[in-house]
Amino acid sequence: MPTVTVRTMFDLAQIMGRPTVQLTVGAGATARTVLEELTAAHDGLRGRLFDPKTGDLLPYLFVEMNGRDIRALQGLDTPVGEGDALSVLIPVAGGACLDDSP
Amino acid sequence: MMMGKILRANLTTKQITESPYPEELARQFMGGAGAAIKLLYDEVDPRVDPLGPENKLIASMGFLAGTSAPSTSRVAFVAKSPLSGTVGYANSGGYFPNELRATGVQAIIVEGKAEAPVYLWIGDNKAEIRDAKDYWGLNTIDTQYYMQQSLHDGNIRVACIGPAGERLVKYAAIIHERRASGRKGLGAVMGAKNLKAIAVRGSQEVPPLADPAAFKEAVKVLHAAMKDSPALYHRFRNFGTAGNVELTVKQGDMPALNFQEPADERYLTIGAQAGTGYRVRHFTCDQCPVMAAQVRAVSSGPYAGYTSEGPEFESLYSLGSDMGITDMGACIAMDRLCDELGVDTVSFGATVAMAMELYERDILTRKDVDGLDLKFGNHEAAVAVLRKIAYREGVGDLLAEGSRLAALRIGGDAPKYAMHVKGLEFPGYDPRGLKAMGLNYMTAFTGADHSRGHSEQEVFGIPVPQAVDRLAIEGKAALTIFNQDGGASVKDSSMLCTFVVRLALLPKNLGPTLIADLWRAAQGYDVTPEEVVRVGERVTNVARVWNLRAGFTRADDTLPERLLMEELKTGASKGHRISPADRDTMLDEYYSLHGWDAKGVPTPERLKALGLEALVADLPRG
Repeated sequence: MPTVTVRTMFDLAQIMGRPTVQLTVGAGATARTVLEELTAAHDGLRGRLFDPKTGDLLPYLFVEMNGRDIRALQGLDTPVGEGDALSVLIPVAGGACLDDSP
Repeated sequence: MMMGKILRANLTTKQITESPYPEELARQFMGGAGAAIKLLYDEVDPRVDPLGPENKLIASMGFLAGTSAPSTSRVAFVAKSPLSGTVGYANSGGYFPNELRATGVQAIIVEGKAEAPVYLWIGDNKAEIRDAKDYWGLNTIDTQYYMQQSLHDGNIRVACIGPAGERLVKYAAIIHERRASGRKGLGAVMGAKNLKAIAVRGSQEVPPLADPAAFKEAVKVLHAAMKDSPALYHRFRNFGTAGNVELTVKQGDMPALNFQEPADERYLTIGAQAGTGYRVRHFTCDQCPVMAAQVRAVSSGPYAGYTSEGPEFESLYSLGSDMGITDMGACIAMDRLCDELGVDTVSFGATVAMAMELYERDILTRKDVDGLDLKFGNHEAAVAVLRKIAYREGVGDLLAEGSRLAALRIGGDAPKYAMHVKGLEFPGYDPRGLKAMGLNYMTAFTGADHSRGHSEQEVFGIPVPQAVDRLAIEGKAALTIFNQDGGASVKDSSMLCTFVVRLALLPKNLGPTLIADLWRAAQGYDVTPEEVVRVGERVTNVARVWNLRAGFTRADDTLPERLLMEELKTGASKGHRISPADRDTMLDEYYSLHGWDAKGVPTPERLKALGLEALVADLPRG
């Protein structure tokens, strides 16, 4: 059973109680699996991560696995293994991709 | 043609002349920094002493200044940089730019050197060179206040230097209100000319626009894009640029201890959330609805009573993590003192961080640093050194030269620890985890400057033109050109605020299109989004040729040894560096995509294609 590290910031960290958590996930886990497990464990987190209509990540968030934007990997289907680190990032002074952006 | 006039003040001859804005300059370079850099190219020999009378200081606004377009009260200051020897460019917002534009002036060229301290007064249809002996020696806040009082007009806006500029500190800033054209040492250029300030008061409307209805429509699109941004009026207004602390700590890309390691969660004490506990109000530039400036005050501890409009992210890195300082009160106090004394926060902090490392490595002794215990984290020592630098006292005289020159004078291994490119100290992003940022630092015409080609895609995850892997080198040459050339026109030549571009336009890839619409409506030019980007490419090439003529070569397009050879040891970018081979791969591709040869020299064919035939004769031979 792989253990992964999840780092978050601002309101997401407040909901989780701390900015960094360790999580044990099942074999074959993906970035989506990790985030789903987190939302199951922390009330109020789902609405801060996922669009309720599409199930996609909210457009202003971006997620890195081991420093790499998962959109440049396999998106939420990116496999996660032992020792991987997932960062859920909220840009403030730049970014915030919109729904209708390319 | 709705551009204002060009005002030329020769401080040697005490002559002031005016001329119409050249149509070709407006058409090829749009205005703002782009036009100012072309004026520098045309008028200043790249080999002159930057602190000599032959250097010129150019202040230039974009075509949007004074119009109904929001967030456009910005001015570009351009000269040969005394810190780097490259093209020197810094810009700032606030109220000074729109007030200057209201005098009917679009750009100022200051040349020569006054015999004694003077200031330049510009009013409606009237400009004078006036005695400034009563202001010489005052800090920047008092200079502005007493000039307004003496002239009996609180609405006069004053861009000035403090004690650091007067003493030719190589990274002296130009300050107006609490806004800084901080980087590249342009305040020292003013000091070298005995120019204490430029004071302005105007009441003129901008000339009629070519197509007011189309302009109004384009401004509506701009407002809509700003409103659509989920961050601009919410998190950015509430946190300002300090929000980058939390982000870059998570990415492992905020440098600490002179780039020896990335800042970790200990530094969240100087982050955005910690900063809200110090915030007393928001502030804004003229005609900007965002109000992102955070006015912070210290109410307890050794720095109680200090208030600052900031610190911004880059200053939280330089005044905080780079010097190993986790005390927000100390950062606020130093931010305030830097502005008062007229010192660039970034180069100051980075230079002192180098001195701290040299002190801890016993390359500098306690005696060398005037008996101070200049170890990392000692904010009392940092404050003491700041005052010494501004007045060039003791070790401050050495550190006032900037990290490159100070390290050379110290000798031995010291230059290994000077973190700069072409003499300009780094801002707050460690390029080992941000490869396009690294290529931008290597190639930006101003040195290690995040503002030339900020890799928004790597830092903020903006998937435009596409999502990127920030740790990969593949594709970073094209990305850097996209960021540098786009930035040189969309923000630096139009002078639309970089944060509006970054938060509202770039995520929709709207920048060139919207600027083309505004430019066409304002000036009547038949321009396309592609032409807007071409303006940026012209600026990049003009600056490149000027720097080559100044003596820079491919060998200067590099990074300090630490970033090439030492991997990051902790954090989310652990294990990464930009190796010499990575550097060479990215540079080769960057030059090739730009139409430059393997030495980084623009080809005659590329210059001609950009309408820059006149530069071909200036290209270095052999």
